[in-house]
Amino acid sequence: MGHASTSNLSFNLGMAVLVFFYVHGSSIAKSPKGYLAHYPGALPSAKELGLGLGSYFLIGFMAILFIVIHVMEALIQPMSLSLRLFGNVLGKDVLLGVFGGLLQIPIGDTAIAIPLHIPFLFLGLLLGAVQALIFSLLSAVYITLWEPHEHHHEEHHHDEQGHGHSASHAHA
Amino acid sequence: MEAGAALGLALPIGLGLAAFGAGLGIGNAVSGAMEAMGRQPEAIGKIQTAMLIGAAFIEALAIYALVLAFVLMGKIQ
Repeated sequence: MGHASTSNLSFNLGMAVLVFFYVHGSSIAKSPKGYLAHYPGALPSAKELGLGLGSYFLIGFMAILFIVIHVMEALIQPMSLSLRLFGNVLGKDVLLGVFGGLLQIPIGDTAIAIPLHIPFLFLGLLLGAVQALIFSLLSAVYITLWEPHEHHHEEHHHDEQGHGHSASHAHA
Repeated sequence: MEAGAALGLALPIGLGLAAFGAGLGIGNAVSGAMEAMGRQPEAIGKIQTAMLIGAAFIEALAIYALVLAFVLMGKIQ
């Protein structure tokens, strides 16, 4: 069986944890307040809901829900990043191993295996390139997603409460 | 049926089901992207990047099943 270094989960987990720390570290370094504001997300104001005291309970409930969801999202991102790479590369390695030992010609005590896996080596080359692209692309996407002033929150701010945050959000 | 034997039956079936779902999902995503590329050839780069990200997310679901299959493979008797 071929052994790529990324078919070991520890290697991928190390890279993903590095990305995790970079994503959150760079976001906190840019604006700690904006980073914390990301967790509850863009909540509606009590006036908008117009339910009296009930709207405050609803907003509190929504805030707790969104914070839980965002914490889970933050923890799942490095796991999915590492497991994706690990599964892809390990799957390729197992495929190579299975095809390498599929046809064997017995000669006396030993056997000669026919290298049926050679076409899959090129497939593996393609897969490795695509996985490297996807890992770096997703890391970049996570970094931009966790930036203090997020894009899809931006639009809400402009529509609903643009007057309050116009100074800080104008640049995007 | 013994637990090990049941696992030996269920693991390939589950993996096949995961591959089936992921195949449907990626097929949908790529067909939409192809259509968009044909309609707007000047936006091919952007569409391709978005398609790759989406395909990676869908593919991860099948990969989870694959990883689980590798983990549970030792328990088949």
